[in-house]
Amino acid sequence: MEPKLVYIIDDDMSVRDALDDLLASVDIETRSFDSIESFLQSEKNPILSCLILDVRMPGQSGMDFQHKMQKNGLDIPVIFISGHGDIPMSVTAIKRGAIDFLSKPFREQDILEAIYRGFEVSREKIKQHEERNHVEKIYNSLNAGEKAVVSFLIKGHLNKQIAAELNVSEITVKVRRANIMQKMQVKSFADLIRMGIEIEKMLLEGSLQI
Amino acid sequence: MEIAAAVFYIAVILVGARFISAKGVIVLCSICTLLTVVSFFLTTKGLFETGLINCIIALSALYLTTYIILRTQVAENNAINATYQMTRIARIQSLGELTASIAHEINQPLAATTASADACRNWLMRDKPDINRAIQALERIRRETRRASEVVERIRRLSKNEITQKEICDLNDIVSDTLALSNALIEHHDIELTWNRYDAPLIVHVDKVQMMQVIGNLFLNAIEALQPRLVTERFITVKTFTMNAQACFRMTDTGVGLSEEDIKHIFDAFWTKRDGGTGLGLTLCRAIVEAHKGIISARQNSHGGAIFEIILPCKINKESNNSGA
Repeated sequence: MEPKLVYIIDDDMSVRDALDDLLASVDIETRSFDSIESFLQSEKNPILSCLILDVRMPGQSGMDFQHKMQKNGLDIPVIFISGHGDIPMSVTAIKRGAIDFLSKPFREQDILEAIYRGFEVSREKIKQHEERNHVEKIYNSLNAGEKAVVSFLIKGHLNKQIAAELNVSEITVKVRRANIMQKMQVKSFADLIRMGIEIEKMLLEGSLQI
Repeated sequence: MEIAAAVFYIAVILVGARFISAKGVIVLCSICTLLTVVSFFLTTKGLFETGLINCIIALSALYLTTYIILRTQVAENNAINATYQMTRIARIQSLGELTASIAHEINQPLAATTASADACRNWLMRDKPDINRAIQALERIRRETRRASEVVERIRRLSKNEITQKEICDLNDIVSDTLALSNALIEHHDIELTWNRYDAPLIVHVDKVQMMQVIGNLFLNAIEALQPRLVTERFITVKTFTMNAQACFRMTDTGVGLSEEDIKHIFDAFWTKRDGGTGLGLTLCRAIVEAHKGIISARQNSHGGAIFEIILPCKINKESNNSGA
């Protein structure tokens, strides 16, 4: 079984302990924190995980933290728990991508379902992250000339057009294309285009530099 | 001649201001100005200069009076709004906040209790039951239920502390004082109030401030019941009397009235028909009345509207208190 982890942040010790124990009783590993600060200082493993977050806490509130998480490079699915059944707040939280908003006391089934949904989202995010890392590594292995050819290939240009645009011979373009196919470890031109589209997306987002 | 006429105009404005709005006062003032000026030109006898000075003095007096009346009206309106807002805010806000914080205080241990109960069952249902972990969970449940009951105890102590300042007083005075506080509201909403005061003292042993809160609350409810447009008759009748040697208070309104469902639940906590209502006003009223060994009841008036009644034990049964309503 792949390793899974649930982070719990709640300032109330008994709620924290009870949740810890409940998840332990169904063999889910947990790590709990009494504040957002102590959570931030802890080391995080890049494994399947989600975060159970109390809405109102002294210091930084859970709502604010969710808002800032992605900026801090923390992309963990969030499940909110709250002692106040606050509807407008739950709407905001869900809009910002929370998995669920449960009011205390919550039902076991509800929290477990939310956790498993959180793990699914986490798996997707990890997969996406790995794919992007792979693409980034390959792209960076290309030399400047090859990168230029890739950018035209994505746009659907023919070898002859690319040769004219880059002011090189058609043979050179063909050689570079073969090198690209080899470096990118793709078997068909369709695969190359699929990866090329991913590269273009990352270039637009700025997570990849030309 | 002009001075005499001007004094008369001031009297007109002073009397008129009691019945008409600010705009009306300004119109009235303009008419008086016109009449004063016309009478100045029509007067042929006497010195012209004396006449002119008299006319100017008259107009100045007129404008000053009008200005003061307008200022007074604005101030009165502000006072009415302020009273109304304050009572409502105090009633709704504090109760709202109170319930929210009580809910949070109770939900916290409840969450820990239910999660621990689920955990306990899971430990016992395993292929190899983990008795130790189950017992730990049970211990936590015991601890958390005690915590919840401590919260409840704290709330109870809070409300107990309030019922302390009991004194011997006349129910008639309590009602009078409360009505006096709400006078501005009654007039503002164009409601006709009849106050049938029992002609002998109704001596009760109560917390005066709390009783005023109860009666004031009933009063605000009655005023709200008279708000809807379709209510054409706006009467509130307040009466004090004795019955079986007990002090009684009755308030009748001609408002929207109560359905059978209303009467069944009207004193229940959090039961409300008003948007943004806490559903605690009448619950608190009943708690206070019952803490004074009294009875509060609500029923529908056969002529429409609602009747609220409070019966309190009389402290001293003087001979002057003739029995019967």
